[in-house]
Amino acid sequence: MAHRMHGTAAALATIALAVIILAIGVSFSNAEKPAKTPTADQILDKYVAATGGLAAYDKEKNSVSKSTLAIPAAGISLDVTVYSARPNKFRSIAQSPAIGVFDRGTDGTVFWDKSTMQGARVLEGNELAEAMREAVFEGLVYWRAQHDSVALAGVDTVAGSQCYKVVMKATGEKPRMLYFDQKSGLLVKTTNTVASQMGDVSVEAFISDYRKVGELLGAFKTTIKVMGQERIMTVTSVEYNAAISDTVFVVPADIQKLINKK
Amino acid sequence: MTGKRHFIRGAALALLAVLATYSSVSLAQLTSEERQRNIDSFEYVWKTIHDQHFDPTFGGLDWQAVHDELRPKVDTAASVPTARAIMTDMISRLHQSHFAIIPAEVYKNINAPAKKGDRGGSTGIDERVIDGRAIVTRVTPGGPASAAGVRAGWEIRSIDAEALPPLFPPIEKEFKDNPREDMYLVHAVRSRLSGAIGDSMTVLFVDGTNRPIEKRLALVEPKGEKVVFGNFPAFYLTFETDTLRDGVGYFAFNSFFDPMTLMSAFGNAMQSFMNAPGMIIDVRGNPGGIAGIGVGMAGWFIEGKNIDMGTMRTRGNTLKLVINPREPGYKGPVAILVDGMSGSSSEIFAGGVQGLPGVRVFGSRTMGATLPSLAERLPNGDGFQYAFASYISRNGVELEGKGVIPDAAAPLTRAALLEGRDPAVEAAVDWILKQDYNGK
Repeated sequence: MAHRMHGTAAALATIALAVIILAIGVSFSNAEKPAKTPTADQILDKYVAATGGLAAYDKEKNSVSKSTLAIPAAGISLDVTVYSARPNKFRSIAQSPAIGVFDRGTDGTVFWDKSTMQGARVLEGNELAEAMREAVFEGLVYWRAQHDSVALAGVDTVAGSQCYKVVMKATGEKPRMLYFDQKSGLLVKTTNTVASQMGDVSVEAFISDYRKVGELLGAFKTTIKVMGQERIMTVTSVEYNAAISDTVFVVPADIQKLINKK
Repeated sequence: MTGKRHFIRGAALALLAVLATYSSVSLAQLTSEERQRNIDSFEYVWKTIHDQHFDPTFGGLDWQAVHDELRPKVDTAASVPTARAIMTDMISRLHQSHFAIIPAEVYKNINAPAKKGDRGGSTGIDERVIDGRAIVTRVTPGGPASAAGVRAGWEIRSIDAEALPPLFPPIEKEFKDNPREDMYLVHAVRSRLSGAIGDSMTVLFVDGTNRPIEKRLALVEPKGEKVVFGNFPAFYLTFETDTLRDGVGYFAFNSFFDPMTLMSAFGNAMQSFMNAPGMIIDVRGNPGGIAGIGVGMAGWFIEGKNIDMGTMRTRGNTLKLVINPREPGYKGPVAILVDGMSGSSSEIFAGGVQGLPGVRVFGSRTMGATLPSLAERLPNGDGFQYAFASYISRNGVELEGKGVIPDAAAPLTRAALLEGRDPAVEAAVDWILKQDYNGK
């Protein structure tokens, strides 16, 4: 996911906010003048501000997050570790005794994908473009550099909250729809078509449980719906400016063999 | 994490066996909570299929009418087995593989080591029904049957005084020309040839000279590594590597589970046979598992970019099963062995590489049960396996209900088994040696 999941518990603030919203709802229920609709740029900038602000993000050079990815319909779960570093280094290692290891990553130039079951490959084409964009450290925060266009696509309700829908388009990719809570400014849902080796896959993700880590607020839970199935990613820890070994982002030997063969 | 390429396949035969061994459970009166859990389970099963079945027309079946007919029955079901039978009736109306209600008892102590009294005890016999007779096709070394001197090719005439031959004609009549005929015939035998670990049974055999031989066989924990995958019943994974005539490599395995163990074993085998004149991969009797394992295995012997093993079609997506070639891969001829007990992922594996250069399929027609599936737990504790996609082979054939037709028919015969021969292996080796691959 482009957005990192981080933060500390803000349960009290959330409850307080809910009370305020309720009061406002009663007080202004007869108000006729609609609120001024923001632009997509403003919505995205509000998201950056709501999660800590650009200055706070600028201080972070890398991150390491640990999560569990549960697939309830299959009765299995994976332990996931994600390493990210500026400008666009990325590595995710997901593993489960039941289905083995899934290793994806990039040193900033090559993007690889390998697994116990299906072997190794180097990404190409649209899949590569999308993966490299996702690999950009806190890419949604620095969205201007990653996208050709952003536009407000309307409003919708997600989990009972009014949201702005923003459509984002990057070079070589299909448009993605992001839903931002009108009140909090936080990202709460995404819908997009992911380019994969198997073909395009429609993915819906519901993002929640924002918590603070240091100065930054991030989502600790993402429920992903793909092919009618649900997958739940729950973050267990996030560390910024971590001591990440240089070897983490090095192209693995079996991937290098594939590159050399070309 | 999006675009995962692992997906799951059930094992139709294994589930049939499980259902058979757990058929006798308590009929105690239900509490109102238990009754509600059965109703909730029924609704969950119905809605899941309604929302997720890959064919929104359900093959012309009026799915709402099925609900409306059966819901009153589950409302008044007086026991869990009765409710389970109603749900099984509901999913059976689809007439498709990979739909099953798995009794909750299966999950009890599923992760614990097997002990006396547990279901799934085995005599160490593998069997097929050939020409209307139950024939021992393989005896597990070190198992009870092996210790008792049972040999491949012997006929199993009766089990605990129940004659087997009369069981087969009705099945043969009902499933004539159906690729699942072999599966149901074998199930009729296997369900009688298994039971609780620690029990024993009297089996009447007929040997190669038509001499009756009675053996008392113990039921023991099956050989192999016990594997528990999600909400599927436990499996015992076995694999075998051998070097055949003129150095032909051979690898057989009984399920597509436990990729950590199986892919490592398969990779080691492929590397050890890198200079062999050919490879045989034997999935006879293999009911399936995780299809991604088969796609990964193909990468060891299929070269070239963007070659796929067919497509998986869900309600909203059509996905190609693309092979990632290994480096270095095996470049010699590869024979895949299949039979009527090769199901699910075995069929995707064989049907997915059939027709590719250097690959040939030997044996007999497969089960025709190829729908990718998942298994969830229901509110009443039962498991629920359901197909969420169909599979179309790279030759454009929807294999569900059809099976993989081998390039060269080489079915087992009793005579060959009694002589210690295996017609499919022999045919495969003959073909491999004619390819004149020099191991370069």
